[in-house]
Amino acid sequence: MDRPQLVGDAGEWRAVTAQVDGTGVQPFDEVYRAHADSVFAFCWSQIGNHSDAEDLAADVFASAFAAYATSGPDPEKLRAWLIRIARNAVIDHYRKNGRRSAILARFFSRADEHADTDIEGEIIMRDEVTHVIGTMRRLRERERLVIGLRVASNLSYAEIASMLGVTEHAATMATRRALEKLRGLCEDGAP
Amino acid sequence: VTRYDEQHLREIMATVKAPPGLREKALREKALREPPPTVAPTSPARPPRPRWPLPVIVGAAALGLMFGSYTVASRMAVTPRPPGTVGSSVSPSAGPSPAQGGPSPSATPGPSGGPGRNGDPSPVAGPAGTQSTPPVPGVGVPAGTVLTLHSGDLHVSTAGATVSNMQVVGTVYVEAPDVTLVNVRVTQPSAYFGIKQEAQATNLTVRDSEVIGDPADPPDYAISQSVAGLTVTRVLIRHANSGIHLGAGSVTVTSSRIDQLAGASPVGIGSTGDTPNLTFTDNTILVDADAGGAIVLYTNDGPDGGVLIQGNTLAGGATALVGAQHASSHDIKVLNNRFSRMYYPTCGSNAPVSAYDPAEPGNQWSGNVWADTGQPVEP
Repeated sequence: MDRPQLVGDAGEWRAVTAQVDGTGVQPFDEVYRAHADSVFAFCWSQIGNHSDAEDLAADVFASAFAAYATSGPDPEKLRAWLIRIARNAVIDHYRKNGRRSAILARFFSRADEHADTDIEGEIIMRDEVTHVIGTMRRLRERERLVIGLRVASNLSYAEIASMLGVTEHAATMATRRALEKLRGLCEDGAP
Repeated sequence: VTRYDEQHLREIMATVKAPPGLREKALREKALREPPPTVAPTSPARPPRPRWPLPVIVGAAALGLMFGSYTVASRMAVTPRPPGTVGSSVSPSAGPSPAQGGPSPSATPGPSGGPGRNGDPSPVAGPAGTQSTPPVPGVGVPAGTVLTLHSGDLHVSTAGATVSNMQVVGTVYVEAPDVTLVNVRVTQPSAYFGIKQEAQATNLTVRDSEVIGDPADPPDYAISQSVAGLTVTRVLIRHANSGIHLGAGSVTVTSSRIDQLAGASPVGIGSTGDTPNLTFTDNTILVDADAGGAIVLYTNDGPDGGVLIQGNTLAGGATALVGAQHASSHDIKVLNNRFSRMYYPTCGSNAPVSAYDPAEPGNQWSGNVWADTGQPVEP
C-alpha cells in the first residue's frame, strides 16, 4: 500500500493552524511548541525507553492534532488535555505490548542509553534523567503514573485528581507517597 | 533542594527535550491514519455501477452474518482457554442483604483458587464448586450459573453482541455499541479497568455480573464509562479504587452493591462533572474509609443535571454523598435513601452529605433517613 504523500511540515500542520486561526483558537503549532517537551517527558517516564517514548509522543500529537480543531479543548487546560491523551496512549501501549514486559522491566530495569549532547553539565543532567527514569521502572504503574503527571507534566494536584477520578487529597497523598518511594530508590542507586 | 525531592525531580525532568524529529513523526503518523484520497477532481466520471442480482445480495448478507458471528467468537478467544469451566455456587447464607446495609465479610483467598493471570491463586473463583469470596444474595452472578473461563483481556467489538456466563480473568474492553454483559465475572483486571466502555461503545448493559479486583493490585475503576449510555443492574463490585467512573452521562445503576473498595480515597460511583441524566436506585454502596464517598458528583468539568438518587443505602467516605458542587447543577433529586452509621457516627467521617443545595432549581431532598433510627437526615 502506498504511503500517503505528505504535504510537509510547512503544509498540513500550518493548514490546520490556518483553519483554527480564524476561530481565535491558539494555533496547534504553538500548542506543540509549548507542550512537546512535557508530553515527551511524560511518555518517557511511563515507558522508560526513549525510542518507544518518541513513537508514543508522535501518536499523542497525531491524535491531538486530528482532534484539536473539532474538540475545542479549554485553552487553560491544554496541557492536561494532552497528558490525558498521552495517558490513554500509555495504556494502549501496555495493552498491545503486554503487562508482562512492564513487570519484568520493573525488576530488571536499566535506563536506556541516549547520547545526544557533548556538554559536560548536560551529560551529568542526562545521567540524572536516565537514572531517575530507569528507577521509575521499579515502581508500580500507579506510582509511576502520579509521578509522571506531577514532575514530568507539571500538573496540579487538582488536575491529577480529576484525571484519576479521585479527590485532590487522595491525589496529593498518593503522589507524595510515590515521590518518597522514588527518592529512596534513587538515593540507593545514585550515579 | 534535597536530592531527588519533588523540586529536584522537576528540575531533572525539565531538562528532557522532545526529540528533534518528533514533530515530523507526528505529522507522518497523522497522514498514515487518514484515508487515501478518493477521486481526483480531473478524473472522468465513473460509469454507473452494475446492479447485483438478488441471489448474490442475499448470499453476501448471509456470509456477512456468519462472518460477524465468527468475529465475535474469535475476538473472545484471544488467548487459549484452559479446559473446564468454573462453577458459580453461591452460598445463600453469606453476608447481609443489600437492604440491610450491613458490612459483608472480607474476602479470604481460598487455598484452592483457580488460575490467575500470573499463576497466582484467584481470590474469587476456583475449580468447580469452590467459592472463596462470599457473594451477596440477589447481586452478581446468580447461584448455580456455570461460567466458561476466559484467561486474558476480552475485547468485544461487535455491535449488539451479548457476552454471557463467562469468567474473564483480565479486563473487558467493550468496543462496539449496544453490547450486553450478563452473568459475567471479571477478576484480576488490569491496574486501570475492570470493564472499560470505550468511546464508540454506546448503550452498554451490564447485568447480574461481578467485577472483583485483585486486593493486592486493585484497578483504578471497576467500570469506566467513556460514552453516554450505561446501564448497570444487580452488579457486585469489590476491590477497586473506584467502583463506577462516569465519563459521559445517561447512566442507570440499579440494585447493585459496591463495597470493600481499596485505596485511601475510594469512590463508589463518581463523576467529575458534565455527566447529565443519572439514575441510581436501590443500591448499597459502602465505603470503609475516611475519604472519598459512596456517590460522589464532583463537578470539576461542569454542572450535573437530571439526577435521581433514590432508595440507596450509603455509608462511609468523607461524606457518603457529594451532591454536585457546581453552582449551576440542577434537578438533582435525592429521595428515600438510608444513611448508615456502620463506619462513622456521622455516616461519612465528616457528614452524611455535602455540596448539596436543596434550593437549586429542580433539586429535591425528601425521605432520607438514618438507617439505624429512621430519623430524617438533612443536607
